[in-house]
Amino acid sequence: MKKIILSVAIATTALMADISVVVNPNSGVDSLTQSQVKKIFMGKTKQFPNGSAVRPVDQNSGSTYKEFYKKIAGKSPSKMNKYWVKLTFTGKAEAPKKVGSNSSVIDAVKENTKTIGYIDSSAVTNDVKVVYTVK
Amino acid sequence: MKNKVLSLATIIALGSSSLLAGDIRVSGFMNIIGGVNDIEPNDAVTGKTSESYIGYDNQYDFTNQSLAAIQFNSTITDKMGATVQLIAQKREADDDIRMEWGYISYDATDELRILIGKTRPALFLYSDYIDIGFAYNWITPPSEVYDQANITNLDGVNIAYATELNDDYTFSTTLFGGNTSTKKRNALNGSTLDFVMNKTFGGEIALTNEYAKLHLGYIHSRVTETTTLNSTFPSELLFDKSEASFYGVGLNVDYNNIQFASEYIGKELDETISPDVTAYYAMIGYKFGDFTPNYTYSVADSDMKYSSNSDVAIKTQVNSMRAGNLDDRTSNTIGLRYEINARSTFKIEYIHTNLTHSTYVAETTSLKEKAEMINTYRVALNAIF
Repeated sequence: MKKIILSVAIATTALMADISVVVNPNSGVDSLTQSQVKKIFMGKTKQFPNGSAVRPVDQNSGSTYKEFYKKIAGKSPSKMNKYWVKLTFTGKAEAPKKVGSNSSVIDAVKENTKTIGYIDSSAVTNDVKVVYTVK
Repeated sequence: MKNKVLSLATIIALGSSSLLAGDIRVSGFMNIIGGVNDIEPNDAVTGKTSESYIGYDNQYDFTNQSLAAIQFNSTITDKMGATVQLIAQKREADDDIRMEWGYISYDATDELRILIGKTRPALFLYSDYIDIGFAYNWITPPSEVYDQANITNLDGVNIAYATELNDDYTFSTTLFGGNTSTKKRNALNGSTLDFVMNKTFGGEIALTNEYAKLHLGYIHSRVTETTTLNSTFPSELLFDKSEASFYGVGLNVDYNNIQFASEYIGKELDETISPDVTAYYAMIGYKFGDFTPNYTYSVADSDMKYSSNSDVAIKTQVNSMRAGNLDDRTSNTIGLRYEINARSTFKIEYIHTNLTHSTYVAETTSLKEKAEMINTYRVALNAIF
């Protein structure tokens, strides 16, 4: 019985892995709320709460991308695309740059203190600081 | 068309090579639209009424409304950026590829963004993203309303302010001002009308939340018109620093599976014989998984002003200028949108239109009305990239 529960637990974790929102360790930002994360990735603010500039980066349209926006904004990839085309092609805001998968996000965050990204929690390294966990 | 595709390919290629050099982002969208209706051009029985309707006649056409757009965007500093959007499309005038947007943006604060250059004013609910078929249910927004938006671009300044009232509602206001010009070719006699719109200004006020947008838009302009037609063209028919006003109020809702949009708009043209127009529509759609069937009812009502002058030449010109585009009309549209994936859609549409042509009877001040019924069928593929 224990084994079954364990397996189910593992299976669930694999399916619904946590996603960590990460910044550069030297960014001066320690933690963010879900509302702040949402504002940054939906283009409603261009600054961290401490006033310094922020540049969000997106993962390519895979399961992490899908899960992240479903959790923070309640939107499907199709709805996210509709949301952004109305802003990017009408001069209102620019969508986060798509940089690739977990490792490319880590590279982008490592290189620039303004960058913020999201990765599978299992992929977190010492190069980045977790400021919010999407569950 | 081949040339256009080639030029766009060159632009894309150039874009990709500069991508390596700096931080330039490339994105774009495409609409491939085919259509046909049951108009018989130059029909001897009905007389010359509509040459075409929303770009189609009884021959299948896949070019008139198709378009491809590519946008380059570059960050200059954290607060400043530059954007160019090019659109390749067959037009009435001769442009093949035109710059639709081209501006420097400056984010003064999170709330205040200033665009300087060429932008598209948000006069009606869908005006600023009318080219992006992916973003709405129709193949193109109802022509009864959107044909009245004669000002589609402005060279000038666009100041946008948006603030969150609370966690749910955002209030935004945009002010725009500048100049613009358009060309219109008269299909009947091949002449060109050039419109110059100076001292154009207006604004948009909008209230949005997660599911809905309430919009108010207004533009005022001073229109001057010249024509390539010979000197017999009565000058009193041309806009001469005429005051033109456009306004619109609209609401769209995208709540769970329910989709709704409705607008009421008006166009007032002073010191000209061109008719004032009011128009409106309502659309309702319901999302069943990847399919969204939708229905739209739309009406345009034009108010002919010219009635005192009985000059036959003028009346003939009025008739020819008006042919096919300013009549009263009512359309019922049934459409189906299918999400192919998160970046492309396929749509089919049937539009049933009742038109009433009003033409002047020579030597009198009376109007002759003629009714016409048009059935239009369209298909479309929309993609964003």
